[in-house]
Amino acid sequence: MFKADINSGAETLIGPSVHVKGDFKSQGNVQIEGQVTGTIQTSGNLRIGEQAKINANINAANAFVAGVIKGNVLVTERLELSAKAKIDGDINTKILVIAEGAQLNGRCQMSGISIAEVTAKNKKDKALPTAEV
Amino acid sequence: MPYFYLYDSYLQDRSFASVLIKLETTLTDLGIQGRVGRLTLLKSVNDLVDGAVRDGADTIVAVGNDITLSQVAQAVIKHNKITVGFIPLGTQNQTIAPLLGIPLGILACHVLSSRIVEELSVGKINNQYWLQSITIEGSPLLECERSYEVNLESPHSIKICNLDSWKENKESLPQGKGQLVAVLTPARGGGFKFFKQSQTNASSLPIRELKLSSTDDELPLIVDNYRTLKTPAVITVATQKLRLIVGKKRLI
Repeated sequence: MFKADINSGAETLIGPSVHVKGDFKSQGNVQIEGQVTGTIQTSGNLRIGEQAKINANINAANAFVAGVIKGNVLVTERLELSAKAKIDGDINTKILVIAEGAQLNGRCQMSGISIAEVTAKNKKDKALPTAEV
Repeated sequence: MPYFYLYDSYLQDRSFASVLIKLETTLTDLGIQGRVGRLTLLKSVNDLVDGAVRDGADTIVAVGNDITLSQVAQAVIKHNKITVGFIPLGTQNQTIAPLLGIPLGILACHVLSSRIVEELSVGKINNQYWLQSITIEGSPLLECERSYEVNLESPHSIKICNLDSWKENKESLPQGKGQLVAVLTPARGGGFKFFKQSQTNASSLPIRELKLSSTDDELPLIVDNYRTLKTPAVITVATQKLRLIVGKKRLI
């Protein structure tokens, strides 16, 4: 059901022959089958396909992951990892669904952060100077 | 409400003579007749539109096809409070009319008479306006919204749409409403056709600003199917809106 919802009406579609670099922001549903390096932020649903290779921090309302992600994933509502999903990074979500075979290498926090909090957190993260340890 | 009808040059062909007579009769019956200007080698769209506005016309009607409408839109956008109408005649290059809910031929006069006006956005490329779409073939570098780049691994057919349908089933995207859509389709060699496109691997990106550049030679950009510009180019949504008469069955 969730898969179908995310598939239908994806306003942004990044195909397998495309590599996006930088800060990608969207207000609608996003489907990624290609490569993305940088950050991904959407207030809609995000679907990451099996062929997708993501090297980015992700913020989304709902997400379905079937590809490879290197980066932190922050989802305000529901995060679903399919059997072929692989995440190297921390995840933060309200509802988590993990299929058998999915790989998660990182911390998992289920706090149910709101979109307003995400925005505030992003601003705070940008404002803070980074210190090397 | 003074109307001005701008006839495209291809309507001078004898095959359109009877249609034009019927058209003028219908316009008179509906009470929306007006002055007529014909495009020729010596009279450009800009000359005709500027003259009509100077003479007090407040509705310029493009009689022709997509290219006629695009040319009229480009000429009208610099004038304030001018409404554009469209009567599509002929069968070639008629993709905008269905989106606007305007039937082909004489029936379009009734849409004109009903006068449902929508404000639609117009694109801008460098300092020129465009209405329908821009196409480019190759592997240009795309910088979108000044925040991210799109790199293409192979040659693509790229179409930036403002008022156009890009899917084969004519499904239209939200268009003419202040956002452009860049559709990137990988080109694949095969058979006798060099660019055999694969629709399934296509990407689509809603954008408001796009910078196109190429590392090698300048790439040609086809604007509204009749003008050719070259990279680099900055494509944006213009601040001005186009007042366009549309039909009840419009898809936008």
